[in-house]
Amino acid sequence: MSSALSDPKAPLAGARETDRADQRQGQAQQPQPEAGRLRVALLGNPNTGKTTLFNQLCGLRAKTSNFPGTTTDIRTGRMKIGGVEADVVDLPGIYRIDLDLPESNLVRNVLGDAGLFRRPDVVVVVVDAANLTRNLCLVGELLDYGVPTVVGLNMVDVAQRRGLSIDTERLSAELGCPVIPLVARRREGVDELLAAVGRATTPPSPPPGLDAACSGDLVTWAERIAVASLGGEQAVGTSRDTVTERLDQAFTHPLLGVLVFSGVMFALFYTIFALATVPMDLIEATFEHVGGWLATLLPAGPVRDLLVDGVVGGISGTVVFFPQIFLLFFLISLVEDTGYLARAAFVMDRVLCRFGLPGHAFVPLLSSHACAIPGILSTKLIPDRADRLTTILVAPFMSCSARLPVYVLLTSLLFIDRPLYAALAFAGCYVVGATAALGSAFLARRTILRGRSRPMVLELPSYRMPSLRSAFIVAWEQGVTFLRKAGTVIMAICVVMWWLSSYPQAGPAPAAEQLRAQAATLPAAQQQELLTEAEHLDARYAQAQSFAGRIGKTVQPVFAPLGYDWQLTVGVLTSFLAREVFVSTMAVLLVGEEEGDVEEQGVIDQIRRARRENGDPVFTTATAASLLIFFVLAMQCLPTLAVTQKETGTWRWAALQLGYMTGVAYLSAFALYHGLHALGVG
Amino acid sequence: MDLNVNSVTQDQNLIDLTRLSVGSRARFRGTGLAQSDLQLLEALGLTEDSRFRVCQTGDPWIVQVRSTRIGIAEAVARQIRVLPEEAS
Repeated sequence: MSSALSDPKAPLAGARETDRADQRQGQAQQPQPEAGRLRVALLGNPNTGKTTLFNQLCGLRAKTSNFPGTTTDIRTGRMKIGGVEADVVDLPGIYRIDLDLPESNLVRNVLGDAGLFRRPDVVVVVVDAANLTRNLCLVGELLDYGVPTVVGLNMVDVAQRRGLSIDTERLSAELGCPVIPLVARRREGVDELLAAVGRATTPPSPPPGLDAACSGDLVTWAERIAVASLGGEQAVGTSRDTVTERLDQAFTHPLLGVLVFSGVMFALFYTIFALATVPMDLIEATFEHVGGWLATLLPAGPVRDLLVDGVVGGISGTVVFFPQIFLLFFLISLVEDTGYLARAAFVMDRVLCRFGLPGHAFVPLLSSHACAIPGILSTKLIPDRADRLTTILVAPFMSCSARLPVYVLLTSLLFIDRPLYAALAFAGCYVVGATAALGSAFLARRTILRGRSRPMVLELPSYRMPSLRSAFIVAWEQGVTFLRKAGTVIMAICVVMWWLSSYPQAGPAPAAEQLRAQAATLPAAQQQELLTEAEHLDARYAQAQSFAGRIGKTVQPVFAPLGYDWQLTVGVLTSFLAREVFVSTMAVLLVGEEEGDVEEQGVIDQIRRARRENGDPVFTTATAASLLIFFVLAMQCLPTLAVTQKETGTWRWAALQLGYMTGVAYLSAFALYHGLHALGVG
Repeated sequence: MDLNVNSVTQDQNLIDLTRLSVGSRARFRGTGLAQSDLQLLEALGLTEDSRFRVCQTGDPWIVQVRSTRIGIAEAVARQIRVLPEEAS
């Protein structure tokens, strides 16, 4: 827990009292709607259907951005209310306004019109009709802020099924503001709610005699109103929900809970892997087609190369992540909607809390096995900032799919004709990555992010059917936000890396020219072999003469202690664009193939036989093992660093991630290389 | 809310939440947790003297306060002091 959160001496309560007093006294200074534009904020406890209501109101017109000066997401949308243009803001779900938590701080700032925030003209409080007392506590706090308020009494259908009948007129009279019954999932009551928002111009009076800063007073006040609205103390409802209790017993059981969780996660990730490959292949094929079309349209030259290989390649390298991100958030949103995720968090908390991570971290860590980018984006599930930062920091240790071609190549080189050992080494890479992630989290929570993970105290919401529409909207927004926020940076990185590995253009290799001259003297049937070899030489020469090649040669002494020559160093450096680039770089440098397919045994054999400039083999057992451990642990993905920067709001964490992971990788590779040499394994 | 941890610790009638069994009822009296953790419990409905029912024991402990079911990690539950209904 961060020190700010755990500091019991922070003068928050007093400050909030002043805030509220200022609000009441300063109502005359309330900001007026800008140019007739109404600003409506949605407020509510978590699991009250607030986001479902927001999606009903704004749909795909909504966008996600950061609260100014923070990394907390805010969803905003536009719509018309009674002919007036309105901005709708979906505030984070909170239990109380005065809690010392980041989400509550944001809500206080919004309601207090502090700094960069503009105070809403109307607040819609979404209240769970089946859990009236606790939800009314938030309403009680809000009434003290003196903002025009409308209560959306959501899930009245669930309340009715539980035998609760709420007198909304009585409730409205008690609160001094309109109360509109809703079933947001079915859009029932939404039009009436909007009409009430259009009419809400006067702030309700603060409840007389209520000290909203005192939990006890607030609960007593809320309970009195709940009892009055429900028609008696017996009707407030503390009844047992036996179905929920039985499901909870199964889902949080030490053994059964783990099995259920494993099944749910397997289904989730299998669906992502199985379904995402189709649109991903389609995206890549489409951009390849566009690149080919541009290549035929434009005259040869640097502009064509920039557009075809740099820009189109860069856009393709960004958009290709969209299906994975969309599917991941769609499925997580569905699972979260059912209420299951809160139970799953407890199951994983037993394991992860030992390493200073919360149970919530499991989904991001598991997602990172597909790709660290959606993994880091899904850390939004983690409520505590220190927990979230720790998870972001260690997520790229998990072996992502981009490492797979590298693992295939290096394990094949390490264990020739011994597939069992190769498979064990392959699995070992995943174990080493996960161990490094957990160990690093443990270390981080004892040093830079000192503290324990937030103690697991969670509301266990009722199980319910998820909303496909809501999940689609959330997933679409996350995908578009990724393209907008990180996509531009990723594309720029792709263009720069393409330029470094393509320029300056070297022209034909001298040795290739000789081969072509030799080929010209031979009969046509015998020329092809020499011409192909000449092309290979050209590709190797171009790579060696490029800026990346030159940098590789310059930087090589740094990697020499790990056993890498300049060719392997170029491979390591170019793989910072994306790890799988290592394989194609090796194919170009060592074999001369433009498109190296490591699953083709011929290419692996050629790479295995490749020689250094002094005649020694490029890959010895020690070198291959050193490279393998380096790729398991190193932070070699600039797009991931860009996402880390966007999600943490600073390059500091991205720089730490890069420095720490690459440092761990370097030291591990060094130790392994020299350890193997000491054991006589060359 | 001002829960005096010392008086809560010294009250002989109070026991840890983890000593209750499924189905038993008790009143929340305080914790040895940090103020921020206590605030979260209060926000979820576990305010001083609030009555709750134990729905599940083990890790997590699940208690129901009014209509809210709250999951509580064992480590937190061990620090929650309650007054069993029989003793109140």
